Order: sequence, then structure tokens, then C-alpha cells
Amino acid sequence: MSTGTPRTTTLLRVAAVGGRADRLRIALTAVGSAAATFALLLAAAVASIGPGDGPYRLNLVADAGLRPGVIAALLLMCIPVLTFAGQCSRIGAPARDRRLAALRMAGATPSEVRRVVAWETGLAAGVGAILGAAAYVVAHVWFSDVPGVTAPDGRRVVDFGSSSTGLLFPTDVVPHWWLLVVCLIGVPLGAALGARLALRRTAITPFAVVRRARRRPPTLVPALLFVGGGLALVFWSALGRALPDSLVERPWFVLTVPVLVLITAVGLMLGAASGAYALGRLLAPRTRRPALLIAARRMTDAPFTASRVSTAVVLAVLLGCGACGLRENFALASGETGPYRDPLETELFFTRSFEVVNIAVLIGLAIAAAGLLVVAAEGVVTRRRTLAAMTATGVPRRTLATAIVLETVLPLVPTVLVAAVTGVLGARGVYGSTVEVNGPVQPNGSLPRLTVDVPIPWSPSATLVGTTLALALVMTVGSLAFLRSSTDIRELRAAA
Amino acid sequence: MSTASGEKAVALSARSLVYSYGAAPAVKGVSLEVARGEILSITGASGSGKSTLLLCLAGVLAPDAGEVRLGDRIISAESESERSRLRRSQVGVVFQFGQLVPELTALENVALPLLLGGARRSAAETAARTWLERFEVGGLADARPPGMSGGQSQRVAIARAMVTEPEVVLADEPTGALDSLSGELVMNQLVRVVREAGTTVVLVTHDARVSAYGDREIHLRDGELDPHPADLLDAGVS
Repeated sequence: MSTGTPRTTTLLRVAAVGGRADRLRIALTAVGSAAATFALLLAAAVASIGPGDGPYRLNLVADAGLRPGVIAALLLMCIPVLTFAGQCSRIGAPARDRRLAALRMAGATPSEVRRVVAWETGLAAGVGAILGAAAYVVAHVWFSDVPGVTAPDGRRVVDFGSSSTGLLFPTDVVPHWWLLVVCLIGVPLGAALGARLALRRTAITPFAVVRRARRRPPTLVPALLFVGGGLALVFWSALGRALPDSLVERPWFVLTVPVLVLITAVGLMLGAASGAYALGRLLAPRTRRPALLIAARRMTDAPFTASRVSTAVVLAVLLGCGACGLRENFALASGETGPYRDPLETELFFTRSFEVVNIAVLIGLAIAAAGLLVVAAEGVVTRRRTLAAMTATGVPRRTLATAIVLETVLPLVPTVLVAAVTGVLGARGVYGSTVEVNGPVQPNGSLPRLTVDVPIPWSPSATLVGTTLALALVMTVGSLAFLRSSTDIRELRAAA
Repeated sequence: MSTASGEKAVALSARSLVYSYGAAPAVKGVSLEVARGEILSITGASGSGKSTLLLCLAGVLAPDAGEVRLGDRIISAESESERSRLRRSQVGVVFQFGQLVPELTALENVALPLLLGGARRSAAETAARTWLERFEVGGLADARPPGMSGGQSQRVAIARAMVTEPEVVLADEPTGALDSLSGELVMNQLVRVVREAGTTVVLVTHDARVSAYGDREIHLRDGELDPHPADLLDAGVS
């Protein structure tokens, strides 16, 4: 009788079997990985642009000084994408948990079961990486060879550019081979490692999969990260002035900004759970409304649901509002906007560049909203027995629906607002709240330098915050489509 | 198999076994021995600790104190991974329901312990098919558990427990989810097959008809062996 280790084919077979929910989880993981691979390959192409390449029509790519920012933005774009893929890993979790428990009962060791999960995620991410690379090659060829769309009258309807007029994307550059390898292998490897890491607080027993969720979320570490990172950003300019020039002029000093943004974002994301817990504790003893009471108790019992929901949303809002602040600053300083607008400034370099950034933020927000829908729907389906029991004991579905919406959206409101304020303040802290511009031409022909205040981007920031919360509301309400089937009384008769 | 003195060799034993769920003790110092080829029935009321005892014997749970021996091997002292490997080699486990992987076919479910042990798929499936046929469910090889009746699922589950030709099979309420006719069919087939194979069986049940299949019966009350089970039966406690 063989009692060695299972063959890889066995693990693959067990990893790949499953129902519709499992297939959806695998497909969405693959889609997320494909998008991340595409973004990484694009970043690799931008990083590989040399002195003789181009010209490019997109200012952000054409200007060598802005390319590191483009690369950083593309890398940051991978965070909501991969977060989405991580959120998708909970789809069909109850059925998968039953399968894993049955495997343990059949004699699989905990480590073998974890390998099954890692194989599933790694395989899906591998397929996604290949699809992402294929999409990149198609895009590369398309934008290289297709000059655009020309109307019968000879007018150019769509212009993708050419080597003479300027390319839209760096299609004349093939990324370094080692960058290609890193992108293609890194995504599935990272996904598989992430899947194993995600199980670190999970006990897969022969009876069930038990998640040892911490009831009380951490407060000190997120607070330290957020306050430390946020304050450093807000006072970055002042710190720069206080520090010796020899230190500030070092090339790596400029890297402290993205690092501080990341630290602040991590603090905010981790702190979302603490915020939900505190909000729940505040509301639960004070409300008379059953829906709010249920929602508040859920916030204290499962505060990490809030952080799962808000991770990508927070990042999109933080970066989006930061970009709004930067645009006000740069556009004002270059004479593109403001009371002393330069009439000769028609290129609108920064205004147009930040329109591209806005598109990236909107894409990130859309991905985050899709992730929110997944988490909210999964929350309803996973708790179907509890919800069915509550319905059976007389709790109206409408109350449950309101509670589900409140428990998702309420913790998001303060987190999104704090992210927006931090983004705007961070941008002002790093690039200053005043800029020097050319004043009106004097009678003697001279151009005086004037110091003007950078306006606070109230309108775009409020639009971003409002859009984000509205999207969150719509997505959460969308997840209620599963409520009727989840509260079916027959759920109480099914095996747990 | 008998020893030189004529006594049957001990296949499975427990000594002063203790297991608690938090502060609530479930098994309190139980000691027992099961001879090779013997069918032992463990009976008791709900909450008496009989299922917990079985899980300790199967190596699913690690006891807080005491030891479980499988032959000469002290399995209670082994790691979780080693105890898991036991379930795909020397110990077969059968439960009331829920132990089959719903996404795999009956054939794949039965072949699973062999595949987990590193066997070739063709060899594992050949062995699995043989065991399915022995339990008269060979025609269900390509069916999945959700499409089977309770009795069919249970016979597939027992085939899976037997496919590695284990020394010991531990069954917890194997007919608990079945009607009496299906339960009788399952028990008849289980007993016939284990007698043929000389397998040791520990059977946990609260059903007197099922416990009657055992060569010997012990009764648990409040986590301890009850020396006077007849008193309880007289009092109407099953």
C-alpha cells in the first residue's frame, strides 16, 4: 500500500473540480491576474524606453521625468486588481471548505490541503498571466500597425499615432526579457503564495474549515502607520527644508513620497477594521432600530469584513484625491489655470496628463466596486443559515436588507472621508499650498513673480467621494439579489 | 490472528484517555482494547462522549491525556500530519454523512485515499472499482454524491474506508441518516466484507439494532465506561 505523498496530478484534479461558484472564482482570479499582468507588462515597457525611442503622444510617457510616476501608477494599479482577485477567492468558499474538510477526512494532511488551495489559485493566476500577456501582445501589434480609423472623406476619426506623429503607447519598445519573465512568473507565484498566506489563520480540520478571526482588530499599529505616514506627508516640504541639503538632494529622497503614501494607505486599510469595530460599539447600545442594531453588532463581531471591503476603495480615493491636489498645484504653477492664466499656454500639459491619471483612478475605483460586490454577495451567501433562521423567527427581509447595506456602507463613510482628506492634505504637504506664478505684464514690460494660494480641490474631491459612496451603495444593494434565496426556509434543513 | 497463548492480538487500544472541549470534559479516562478482527460496539446516550472517543481512536483528535495504540504504534503521540496519513493507510473512517467530496465521482472518492498516498491513477481506480462492486454500487462509479441515495452514499463511503485495506475501520453512526431498510442493508454488507477481510471494527451507535452486529458492546455514560449498562436500558435510556 502506497503511503507516500500525493502526485501533482492528484492535487491538480482535486483543485480543479468544483461547481459553478468554484468555476466563477477560478475565472475571476484569472481575469484579475490577466489585468495585473497587462499592467505589469505595460510598466515594463515604459521602464524599457531608451533615449532613441518614441516619439510618444502621451505626455506622461513622452516626458522622461514623468515615466517613474507612470511606472509607479501602473504598479499601484495592480493593488486593486490583485485585491479584487483576493476578494474573489471567497466566492464559493462554503462548498470549497466542505471539499477541503472531506479531503482531510480521507487522509490528506493539512499541508497537502493547503497545497491544493495554492495549486488552484496558482493555476488560475497562471492562465490569467498567459491571457494578460496575449492581450498585451495583441495590443502591442494593434497599436503598432493600425494607424487609426479614417472616414470616407479622409478625416481621421481615430488616430493611434505612428512613429512620425507620435505613438499613443510605447509599442516600439519590447521590455527586457528578464522583466517579461518576472511579470509572467511573478503573478501566478505571488497569487499561489498569497493563497497559502491567506490560510495562515485557518485550521482545515476533517470536520470543517475554521477561520480563527481575531475578534478585536488591532488599533495601535494602524494608528501609528496612518498618523506617522500622514503627518510625514503633510509636513514633507517643511521636513525637506529642515533637513540638510546633502540629504534632501540624494536621489532616493524623492522615493520617500510613494513609500509614505503606501505606509499611510496601509495604516488606513488596517485601521478600517478598528473604525468599524468602534462605530459598531458606539451605535449598538444607542439605537432603537433593529436594522441598525443588527448592522452595528455585525460591525463589532466581524470588523475585518469592513477592511476587506475598503482596501481597494481606500487606495483609489487616497490616490485620486492626492492627484486632484497635485493637478491644482501643477496646473496653477504652469499657468494652465488660475487668475494669472498664461494665454500662450495652450498645450495644457498637466491638465491633459492628469486626465489620464483620472481615467486610471476611475478604472481602479470600478475594480474596487466590483470587489465590493463580490464581498457583499459572499457575505450574504455565507450567512444564509443565520439569515434563514432570522427570517424564520420573524425578522422581515427588509430589515435584513437594510442591515446588510448599513454594515457595508456605514464603516466605509468615515474611511473614505479620511482617505480623501489625507490625499488632498498629502498633495499640499508634499508640493506646497502656494506656488509662484507670473503676474500680469507690467507697463515696463516686466513679468512680476507672484505667490498665490493653491486652491483646495473641493469639487473634484467631493465628486470622487460621492461617486465612491454611491457606487458602494449600488453594489451593496446589488448583493441583495441573493437575499431572497439565502433566506429560504429550506436552508435550515440543509447540512451545514 | 491469535497469540501463542491462544488470545487474539490487540489491534487497537486506549489507555486512560481524556479529552475536553474547552472546560467541558467529553472523555474521562477511558481504557479499552479491541482484538484483531473483532467488531466492538460503543453505545451511549447523546453527549456521552462516544463520538469523541471514536475520533481520538481514529487519530482525528489528539487526546489531552492518555494514549491510543494501533498495534505497537502510539498514534496519540504522533503529529497531525502523521495521524492524517494513518487515515489513508491503516485506519478507515465512516461517518453518518458528509465525508464524500461532492464534486468527485463515486469512483474518484473511493480512489482518493490511494491517490493521496501517491498511487497511480489507473491502479487506484482499479482497486476502487473492485471495492465499489463488493458493496454492490459498481454501477454508480461515475455518479456524484449529490445524485445518490443515502444508502448508496454510505456504501460508497464504506468502500472508501476499506479501499486501503486498513487494519481498523471506525464507524460513527454509519446508519444514522438512513431508513431502517437501507441501514440494515449497509450493516449487512459492512459486516460481511470486514469478516472476509479480517478487519477490526469499532462501531459507535445509539441504535440497539446496529450495536447488535458487534461481537462485544461497551456503554459510555458521561464520558466514562459504564459497568452497568443494563440498568440504563431498564430505565428506558437508549
